[in-house]
Formats: sequence, structure tokens, C-alpha cells
Amino acid sequence: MSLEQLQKEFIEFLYTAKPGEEQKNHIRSYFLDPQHSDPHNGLKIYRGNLVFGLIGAMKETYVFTRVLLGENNFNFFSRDFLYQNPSRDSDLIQYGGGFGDFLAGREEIQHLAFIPEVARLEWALERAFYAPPEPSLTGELPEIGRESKLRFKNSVRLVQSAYKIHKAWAGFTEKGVDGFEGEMFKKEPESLVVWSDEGSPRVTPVNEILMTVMKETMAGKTTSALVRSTGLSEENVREAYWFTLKQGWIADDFKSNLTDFHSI
Amino acid sequence: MGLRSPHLSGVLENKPPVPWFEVMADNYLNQGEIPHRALEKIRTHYPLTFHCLGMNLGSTEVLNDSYFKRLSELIERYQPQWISDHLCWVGANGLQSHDLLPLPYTADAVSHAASRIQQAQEKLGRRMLIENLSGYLRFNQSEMTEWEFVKAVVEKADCHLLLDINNIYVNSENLRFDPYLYIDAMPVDRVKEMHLAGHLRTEGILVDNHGSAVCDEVWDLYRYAAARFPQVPTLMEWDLNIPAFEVVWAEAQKAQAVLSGVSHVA
Repeated sequence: MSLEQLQKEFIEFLYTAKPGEEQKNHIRSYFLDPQHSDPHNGLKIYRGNLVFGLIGAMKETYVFTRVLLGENNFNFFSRDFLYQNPSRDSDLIQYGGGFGDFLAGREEIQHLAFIPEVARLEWALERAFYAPPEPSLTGELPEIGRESKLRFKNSVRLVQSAYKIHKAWAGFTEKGVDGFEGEMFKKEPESLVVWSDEGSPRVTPVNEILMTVMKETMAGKTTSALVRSTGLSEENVREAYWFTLKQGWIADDFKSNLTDFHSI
Repeated sequence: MGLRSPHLSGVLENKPPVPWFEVMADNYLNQGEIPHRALEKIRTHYPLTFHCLGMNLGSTEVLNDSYFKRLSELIERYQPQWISDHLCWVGANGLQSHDLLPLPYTADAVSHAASRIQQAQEKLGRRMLIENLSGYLRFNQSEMTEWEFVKAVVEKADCHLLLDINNIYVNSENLRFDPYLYIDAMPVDRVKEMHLAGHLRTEGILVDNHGSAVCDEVWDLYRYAAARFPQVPTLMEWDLNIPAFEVVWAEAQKAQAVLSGVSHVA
């Protein structure tokens, strides 16, 4: 048995939710356990460490989601999630993306459909927290050509929720479990921009026009393509750009990327 | 002492006379500003060492260039006294366990791990410390004892050794060997740091969870090690159920008292 094969089989075993007898016996055959006739206990420690480590990382990210689900449910769903979504990045901080989508697909919480939306918001907040520092464009909005692409800072994330989640999240962040109530999660669309204020994640509710402009811009559309695809007026687009400038969301290096100086 | 987030503000406010802080470097490889702000303040008052989890030195995967690049940037920024990681693997076949997984004690594994440590040292431009692992299983194919394996790797890689005394004790109980033989076998000139920590006893197995005070048996083993490796700085690890700073500091001072009180018997 080569070291490569041994490591492959061992880590695949760790990531198997419910290993069958054949797989268990195969893995057990690699080991001697001087204390026990069966190395079952030792293997359990390694399998437990994997779950403990990954769920621990998710608890750091999904603080409000965990409260909304309750501890046992959070552990249950996280456990299922990690077996379906093994970690592939050596950086543990990168683990847990897509948990919101995963929760949205779970039958058990269809009646609590705002929880996946909260999870998506918390993932965006985590990314904003760990985003590298990046200077914002300041001063006046430069001439933006029709074929230019605006670039937002890497920390800027968009969250579109089918439920109102911002007020409850803000209440929880400020006052903990006393800061929100279930009635706050009305089924009403909400558009949020998550961004980093010198390292501190912030959430700003925005209107539909601004969300549309930012979404299309982040998809790499030029100003003229954006106007064509959305039907928004050039004035709408410029107003949206202006707002993002004032918020400090535009990357400072944006100007160097201007390709067309015909003003819109 | 290990630098842990619950203690950060107190350390910055009170500036206790801790000789140095060990930083879990992997927690700072991302570039978010807030964690670095606190660490920069700590660095102005204390020497740092970096303890790593992600070099994946025992894995058969290619060394992660991105990891080493970010680590090198972190080293440049904070100028740690030394850098350590474990004699283990954490990921393989594209999957990451984020846990410290054991190697079989074979001649092939010695060559493999030593070669990888040499590559890591070249990437970082310095000699590293390698830590012995806690373990719960022993591979059938092992051809030597754990202490023979550790010694062979550090000598072949020409690296230093971070000797974790609790890990030796945990393994000696789990895998049934004499921990004092282990200490005796370690090359004195390569041991540059020691670790102490608490463990958990569960279902007949000791788990290295760093979640409690050091037990009497580990203190006894430490006294023996401190006599064999005099003046080797010792770090107190406490990562789970982290108590008040003063509790961990008291344990660290106890270790210092042992170091100061022993005579060289090796």
C-alpha cells in the first residue's frame, strides 16, 4: 500500500457520512490498536475531529443562523452539509460557503424559508470581514464612458432576499436574542449590500434600481450594455454610480481601467 | 503562551510579562484588517513565534505554493522568532481534514516527510521546528517506534524539534509505550521548544484537546524532559474551554519554575 493510496482512502473514509461494513473493515485493517482488539475508538476520534473542526468553523460564520435553527438543528444540518460539501481549501476560514443554498433545499425548514436568507447574509458578512484592505475611489465621479466597466471593491457583496432579514439581523447583532422577533421576517423582497468599513462588515439596504445596476456591473457589463439589458436610463445608472461612490464601494483603481472617456 | 482571542484585549491593556506569544499563523493568512490590527499591537510589545497547521508536510499532495506565499508575507510582516508545524498530513486527494493525521512509521515515510520539510524550509528561507503528533492509532505497516521515526525525520530534514510533552504522554497511554524512553531518544541539540497542554480521557482513550490544566503525570514527564533539555522555552497551550488569562499564565509560570529549578541530568 503506497502512502498516497493510504492517505486517499483514509480521508475519503473520514468524509463518508455512514461508511459501510466493508469500508470500515478495510480501513481498520490498516491499523493496530494495542489497547483494543478493534481500532474503532481511534477511528472515531479522527472522524469526530473532522466534524468538530468543520462545524466549529461554521459556528463562527453562521452565528445568527445557529440561533434561529437552534443548537441541535444547526449541528444536524451542518453535519449533513459537511459530508456533502467536503473542505477543499487549506484555509478553514473559506469553509461553509453555500450553506444558505443547502438549507434552502431542506424540506424540514421550508416553513422557515427566511433562515437560508440569513445564512446567505452571514456568508457575505464573513467574506467582507476577511477581504483584503483596498482603497476606495474618493472625490468626484470621473467621466465614465459607455464602454467602461466600473469595479467595486472585493469586499462588496450583494444579497437579495425574499424575506425582510436586515432589521432582525441588526437587532440580533446589537442586542443578541432579545434584539429580534419572528414577526420581523416578513415575506417581502429586500436588497442588501454587504461591505467592509475599514475591516468592519456593514449592511446597507438599497433599492431595486441600485441593486440591478450593481449586479449587472459586478457581472462585468459595460455601462452601455447595462443600459441596454436593464432598460434603465443613463441618468438612473449615473445616479446609482454616484451613490456607490459616496458609500466608498468603488475601487480606487477603477480610473485606470477606463477605456472610453465619452461621458454618458 | 499561545495568543488566543479571548485574551487579546486584556493583554493589550495590562501587558503582562509574558516572554513571547505563539500565534496560530493560519488564522492570519487572510488579509482582513481587524485581526491584523490587534496582532500588530501585540507585536510592538512582544516577540512572536508562528505555529502552523496547514503546511501538510506529510501529505503526498504537492506543497501548496499559495499557502507558503501567504505565510512568507506574514513572516515578513511580523518577523517571528521561529516557525513550526506538525509531523503529519492534513489533506490529500483534494480533500482537507483540518485535523492532524498520522503517518506510518516507515523508512519511506521518513524520506518523504524529510524531503517535504526541506522543501518547506527552502520556501521559507529558514530552519523550522517540527512538532511530534498526538495519535490514536498505529499503522500495521510501521517499521519503527514513534520516537525512532521522529528522530530520523528531524535529522534527515535537518530541522529543529518542537517537543510536545502532552502528546508523548497521550500517545504512550493510547499506544502503550514508555514515554520516558521517548524523551531519552530525542536529540538534545535539536529540541528548541516544548509544549504543554491538557487532555481529555474518554472511552478509554486520551484525546489531546488542549481543554484543561496539565495533569500530574505530564508534569512529571515534563520535569524529566526539562532536565534533559535545559533552558528550552516551553509554551502552555489551552485552546478549548479557554479560562481567564491568569489561569493559563499561572500554568505557564509553573512550567517556567520547573525549567528554572532543574539541573542538567542528560
